[in-house]
Amino acid sequence: MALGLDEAGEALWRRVAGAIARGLDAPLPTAERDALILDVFAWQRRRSPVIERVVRAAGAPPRATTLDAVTGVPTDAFKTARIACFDEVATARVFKTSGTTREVRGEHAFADLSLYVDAAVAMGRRWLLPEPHYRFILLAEDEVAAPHSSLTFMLARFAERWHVASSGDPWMVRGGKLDVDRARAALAEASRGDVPVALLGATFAFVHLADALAGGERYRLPPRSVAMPTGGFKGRSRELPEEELFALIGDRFGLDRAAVVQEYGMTELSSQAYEAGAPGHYVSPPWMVVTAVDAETLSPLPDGERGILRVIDLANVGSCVAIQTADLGATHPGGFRVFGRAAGATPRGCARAMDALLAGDDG
Amino acid sequence: MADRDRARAVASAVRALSRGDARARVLDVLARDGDLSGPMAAWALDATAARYTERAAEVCAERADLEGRDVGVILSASVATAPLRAVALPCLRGARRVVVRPSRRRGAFARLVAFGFASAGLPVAIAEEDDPAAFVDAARRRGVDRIVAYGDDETVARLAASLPEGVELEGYGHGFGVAIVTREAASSEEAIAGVARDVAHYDQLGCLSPQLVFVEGPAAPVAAALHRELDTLDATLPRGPLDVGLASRIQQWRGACAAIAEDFHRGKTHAVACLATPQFRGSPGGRNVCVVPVASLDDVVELLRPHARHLTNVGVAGARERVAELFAVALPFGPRRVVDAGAMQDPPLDGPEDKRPPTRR
Repeated sequence: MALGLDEAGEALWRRVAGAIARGLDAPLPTAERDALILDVFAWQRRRSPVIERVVRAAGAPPRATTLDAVTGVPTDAFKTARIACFDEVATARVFKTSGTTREVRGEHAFADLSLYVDAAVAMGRRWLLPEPHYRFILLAEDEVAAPHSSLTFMLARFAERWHVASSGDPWMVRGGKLDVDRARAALAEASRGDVPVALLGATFAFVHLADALAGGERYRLPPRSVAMPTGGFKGRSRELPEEELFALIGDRFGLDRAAVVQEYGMTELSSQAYEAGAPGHYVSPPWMVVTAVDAETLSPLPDGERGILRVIDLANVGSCVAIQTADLGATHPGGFRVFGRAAGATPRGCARAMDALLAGDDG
Repeated sequence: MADRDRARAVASAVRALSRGDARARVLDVLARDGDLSGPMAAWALDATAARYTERAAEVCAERADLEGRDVGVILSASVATAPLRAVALPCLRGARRVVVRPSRRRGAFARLVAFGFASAGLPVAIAEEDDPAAFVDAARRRGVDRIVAYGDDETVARLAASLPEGVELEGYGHGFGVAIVTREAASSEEAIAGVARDVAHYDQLGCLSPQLVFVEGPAAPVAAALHRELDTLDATLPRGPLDVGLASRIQQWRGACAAIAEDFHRGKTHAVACLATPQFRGSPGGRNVCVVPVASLDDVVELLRPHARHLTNVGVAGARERVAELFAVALPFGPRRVVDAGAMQDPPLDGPEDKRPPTRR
């Protein structure tokens, strides 16, 4: 394993790996976890001048002594600079945010993906794939076609562990297009069997598939089947409210709302949170801490108060442990809610050009 | 109404709005419509009203190109004082009737303007229809034959595509400004103070506001000086409140810029990122600006060229004429206004604020 870290970084990596290896049921005591977060954050600030500049620009104190003082690196920083604490030559994989060819894409580099896999599998097993085997139908491109997609990477690792190989190639997107005929055949065959189906992939691909089945074609997937649309519409399909999407999935595939699981993840993170307990409520793994912060001051907000979400993810030991998202949300005991991207009401009117320019689009 | 009478009525209506009994209410509405601080709303009202002299209004009125026309005006959520010129211009240009559809979200000042103008005897009314499409339909039925619309390019294009036969469009889309500090002014605190005022006015949320600052030569001293001037301005013209979306965009912008900045200056409410290399990097507004070094003005032209059609306004600290001459040749579809730093938000009453030719249909 070539982590490309310094000695202190390797020691921290081992501590983080130990914390994740404890799984979801025997986590590190909170005080130990928080101490580990503070150690990782302090080391990352020493190791990466970029991270230090960014968090100081956001008003971080010279040294964080509590989690409240751990300032997140905004996700947009991943679009302009390399946010990593390992030597560049050690880079094993780079995940990129989605976007049009004209948009600047954020990049999250990894020297080692074992923490990512351990974190994803632990949470996936608990909240998405509790059965020993599934027939996977993946509405996404495979790793050869999409080597920079973190979603594809995660789905591939899930497929390695859970997919019944005899049911064939699970990837239903080829050359950027959903192969509706193959998806139909897979759905039909799966519906005749009793192996639960894991229908997972990009939200817009779910819409494309559901629309292709609009002529009355319906499937009843076997009991214990699950669906996970994730990643949003990204302007690649018609957009519809969440509940309509779930209703559409229920109608086409015979899955009730409880069988449709939502995940909260992003390219800049290494771990995912999952919807659990109640619709729209997410739980995160013990090595992740989600806080709603005031959008202007970045001060943590009490439970129930809406702010922008700051996510601390120990599995990001090689990049940046604290990420400041642009997602509006609120915490509650045991989890958090997400209300979508923080949108503003401030008049831009005639100056709206800047919004397009910031998105890299002024053609 | 004769040219001179129209001009007098407009100047008188603006005076009435900016002084006396109405002033307190107008200031309150401007602050709320534009998310401006109280002192900024007062500055905006006074600076805007000062342009409406009878003489300036008369010059506009002499154009009289809307004489006898019934005009509908569709306003967008923009800088708080923008409705004043949007309503005044068709009146000055001789329109027989002006029906105004205020912005749905930020329409209070437009309503005050329409009421004030009507009280001064000008033929202005507020439309009952909220939805632009319904407004156009109703306006057409009432004989409106010219729509003057403000908004982003997409809104104007949608409107252009949907207007019924016989109705003309004069559409003003979105844009942005930039500031340039030429070699001659790089060490002039007074000139940099002008740039700071341009950034601070309307909290950098207008289409005339500078969204980045180019510096001919080393940028670091200019960035530091700009930071100091913005700090000073924060005491006299404090920034207005931020909504969560804008505050979030500012946090993201600051992170993206700090990651690559040579120097990053963070003030109480502003930020100045001094970049190391020439590049075009916009701003979310709210007094957050990149200072970008360039070897020569030719570099500025090349960086602006892809965005020239949206460039409204250039504020120059230093050799304004040199910039104006170069831009007139190199960016013929670029800005119509090249002004001294500090005057970017003070466009004379000589047509639309950004003076770009409208989209017509």
